[in-house]
Parts: sequence; C-alpha cells; structure tokens
Amino acid sequence: MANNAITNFQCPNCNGPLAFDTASQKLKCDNCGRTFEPAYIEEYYDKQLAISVEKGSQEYKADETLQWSEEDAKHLRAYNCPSCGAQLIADETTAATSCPYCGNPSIVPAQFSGALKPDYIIPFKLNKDEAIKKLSDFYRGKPLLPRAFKERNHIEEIKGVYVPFWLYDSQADADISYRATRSFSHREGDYVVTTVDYYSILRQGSIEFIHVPADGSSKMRDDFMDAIEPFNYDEMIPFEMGYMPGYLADRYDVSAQQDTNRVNDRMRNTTAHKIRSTVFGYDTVMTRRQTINIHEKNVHYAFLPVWMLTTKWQNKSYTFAMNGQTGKMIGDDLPVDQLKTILLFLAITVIGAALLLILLFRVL
Amino acid sequence: MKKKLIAIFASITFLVCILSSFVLPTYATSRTDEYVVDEYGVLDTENVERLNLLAKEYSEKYHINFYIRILETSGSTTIERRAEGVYNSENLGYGEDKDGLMLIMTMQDRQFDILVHGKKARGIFITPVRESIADQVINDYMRYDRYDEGARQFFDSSIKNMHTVNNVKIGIAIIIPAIIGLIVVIALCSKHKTKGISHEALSYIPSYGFNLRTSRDFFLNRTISRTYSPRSKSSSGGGGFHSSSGGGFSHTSGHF
Repeated sequence: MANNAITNFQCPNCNGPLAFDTASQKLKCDNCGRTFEPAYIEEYYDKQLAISVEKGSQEYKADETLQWSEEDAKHLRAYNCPSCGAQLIADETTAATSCPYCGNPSIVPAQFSGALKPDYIIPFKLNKDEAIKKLSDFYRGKPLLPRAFKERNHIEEIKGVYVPFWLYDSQADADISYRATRSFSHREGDYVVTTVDYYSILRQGSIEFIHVPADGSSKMRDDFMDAIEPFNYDEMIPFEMGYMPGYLADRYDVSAQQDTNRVNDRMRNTTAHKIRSTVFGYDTVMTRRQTINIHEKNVHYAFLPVWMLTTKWQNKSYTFAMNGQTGKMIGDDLPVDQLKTILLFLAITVIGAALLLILLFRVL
Repeated sequence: MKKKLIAIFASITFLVCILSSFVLPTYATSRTDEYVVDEYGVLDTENVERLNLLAKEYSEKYHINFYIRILETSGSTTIERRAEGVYNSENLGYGEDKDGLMLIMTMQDRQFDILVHGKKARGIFITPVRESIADQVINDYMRYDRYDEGARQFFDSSIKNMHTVNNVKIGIAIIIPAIIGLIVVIALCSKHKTKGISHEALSYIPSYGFNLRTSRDFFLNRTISRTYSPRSKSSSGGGGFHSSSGGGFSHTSGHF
C-alpha cells in the first residue's frame, strides 16, 4: 500500500482551514476570514514541505496492521491527515479530497508532480449555494417530476470536483468532392419539360481547432462531460495548487492517446460539416469523395470545474453535473410520474372534448 | 395525494355531466306542421301519412324539420327562389333558427331543389352531403318516376347523413383533444431529458481557423426530359347538380 504525503492548506495567520472562494478567486480562511493569493500559499507550503522532508518526518507511514488484497493494494492509497491524524483511504488517482473526520480540505501534492502536473486550471466561478440554486431551478417547470424525487434529492450533498481534461490543438486538412444538381421545369401544352444541370464540386481547405476537450477520467461519463461544454477558456490560467482546497479532484487515468479517437471523430465531423456549408445554390448535393486528415499539434492537461450530485431514488441512481464556470446543467433522464402523466392526458382530453362538443353542436 | 386525486376525478366527472347536457337532446313540444305536401298527386296517400308521422318523429328527436313539397310549377321564378318563397310563407323550420331541410320538386319542368335553412341544419347538410342526398334520391328514384320510394329515400338519406356528420363531429371532438394531450405530455416528458454525446467541435474553431484554399464548381452536363401530363379538365358539380347559398339558405338543385 503506497503512502503519500497530503497537505491541508491552513491559514498562515490562525491555522484555520483554507478553502477557495469563488467570489474573490482567492483562498479564504474559514476562521479569521483573511484571503491569500493561491500562488502565495503554494509557495508557503512548498517551503513547509521542504522543512518537514528535511526533518525526516515519520508521521506519514503506512499502517502495517491493515491487510489488503493484492488487487486492492494496487488501486488504493492511504494517507494521514496532518490536521487530525486520521487515516484516509483513497483511490490511487485521488488528487484532492477532504478529511471525513475534521473536514479539512486535503491535497495530495504527488498527484501534481512532474508529468502529472496539469498545465491549466479554470477556477470555480459558481459557489455551492449558487450550484444548489441552479439545481433547484433545474427541477422547476417539470410538473411530471415525482414530488418525492424533488424532496429526497439530498441537494446539499452536491460536490465541487476538478475533472481532469485533455485539451487538443489540431489542424484538419480536408479534400472533398461532391456531385450536385440544379433542376427546373416548365409546361409546354400537355407536356412537363424538366431540365437538370449536373455539377462537379471540389473543396480543399484546413480548419484549426483550439483546446477541443475530452475528459481524462474513466469515472466521469463522457456524455456528461460533453454536454456541459463549452468552457470559457479566457478564464483558464496556469495551474496552481492553491485553487484546489475545498474541492475534490482526481488525476487522469485515461491518457491523451486513449482519448484521441473520440476527439478526432468530433473534428472530422465538424470539418465535413463546415466544408459542406460552402456548397450552396443546388437542389441536391451528394458527397463523392472525402479525405480528412487530422494533424495533432499539441495536447494540454487541464483541471476544469464541475459540480456533481449523485442521488438514488427507487433503487436507481441519478447523476447531475453542472459546469462550475458557466452553470450549464445536465443530468440523467429525470423520472416521470406515471399517474400524473395519465391524469394530465385525461384532463386535457376530457376538457378539450367537452369544449369542442359544445362548439360543434351548438355553434356550428 | 389521495384526496387530491379524488378531488380531481370528482371535478372532471362533474364537468362532463354538466357539459353533456348541452349536447344530448332534450324533449321539446311537438309541432303539427304538414311535413309532406303533394299538390300534384304523385305520392300515395298512405305513404304521405306515414312520411308525415316519420317527419314529426324526426323533428322531436333531432330538432330539425324535414319537408317534401311537390308542386306543379315554379312559376316565373327559379326553383331556388320558389323554394325559399314556400319556406318563408309557410313559416317552416324548427325553433328560432327555423332549422329545416326541404326537397321541393316542380313536375311540369321537372326541376328539384334541396334547400337547407338554420345554423344547425346548415352545419350538418353541407354541399357534399346535399349532393349525396340528391344523388341517392333523384338519380336512383325520382328520375325514374319512383316518387314514393324516392320520398322515403329522402328521409332515410337525410338521417343517415346526419348521423355520419354527428359521428364525425364526435370523433373530431375526441381525437383532437387526445392528440393535443399527447403532444403536451410528450413535450413535458422531453424536458426530463438533457444530455447527449457531442459529435461536433464548432465552438473550438477560432475566428481565423477556417481556410478554404480551393473552391471550384464545374458544370458537367444537362439533361432535358419531357413527360406527358395532360391538364385535368374542370368538372361541373357532381351528378349534374348545382349548389349555391345566400340569404340564410343553401341550395342544391337540378333536373330530374
């Protein structure tokens, strides 16, 4: 069982827990309320870590009494919380979590070292209260949603997660030819004369793609992560650990190479669609030959903010995800109250039929 | 929840009961009009009595009066004007709107007119329906001097068509709200679905990102085809009938 250091970011002023504040975009102490730039705290803790390593700190040891299977040991890690000393067991990819005993946000610096260090991060823009409000608004305007589902949703358990993403910069080169027709007809006496002109169309060009995202976590559903796009990359900044406290995070476990096919398909589809949009003024257009080559230029590793909630109702799990920057909301197909649906249908049919009967028999 | 459901069901049932009273026929006092009058003497007397009783029964049941008038001539006026004159002078029709359907025939010039008056009657006996009645009565019987059978057929066809129109109205009254209800429910259920895998990346193309190097459209060839498609000839009213409306009356007339 591997044992790694974890870090609680604590206030240099009063040692209270630090958490990232979306309003000020800084780390804020829960106790004294002071705020600090993330870069400052990161530098401060780098120095602290260097001191503790130098001292040969013995507190980060594995608990030798625990017995794990070989399979479990491969995928789990044990940490000691520096604040309360409690042992935390987490997945091998966990990069940020919170201690379930003292509640302090905990970061695993080893998950951000060397090649694992993200290039960029988009800090959370929406705080937990705003996320809860958006989720509540998501339920509104859905009269067929079972009331019990809304009431027992545990909406307060929504969690902020930094999801690992790969951002691809590529160029697509396209060489596409089409066959098109234009037709018109007119009448000459008892005959209809139809004229059809045939054309051969050639289009060649290239399209640049910047930061096409694909999530690098096997735990995150691809359809969910696609659906909460796009993120505003204007607010993307170089990664600093100081933005992590208060949120959960996992490092990637799907490599950039593994995600390439999915991203390349998106780019190919977009290229074909964009080139096709330049062919107009014809009645029919058919693709005869299509060659699209994707040239990868660069891949970046980034942490993007997502609010997540998983809830259970009638033995079925429902997951909701919200873009932590833009607030775009996505979720599993919500359940439908069968009885309400039938009653609504019957009510519309009966009332509508009654009104129409009056209209048809009395008025007309 | 249970109480709410019971309340909703009770309200709907009450509403249906109240509104159905507007639709279902109620008993009214009968009128002793002469429904069938044969001035020319082509109809059997017993048949005339039978038809009068039938017309009276239909009047009470359907709140529309059915008439047959067989005259010698329409005089110097058209058959339609003659029919309107008879209808108004004899104060025919049921109720305030004077709903009624009348077959009038003039034997000297062998003309006929099917006249309808009143909002309810005109809503049922529209042009296609009148022409259908005319086709069944005139073409199958009156043209061959089978006047008694023709008169009976007039009543039968009128009632049969009225039932068909009423059935169509009931069908429309049920089907349209059901379709609307289905659309509403489907629309509300579709709001419960949100996600889907993205198959495009249009948002990730910068403003300078699209470079079209080659854009060529070549004309290849032209084909011309001629298809024989004769123009359809305009046809007059089906069965040689002429339909018109105006002044609160609708007519379908012709010769037999």
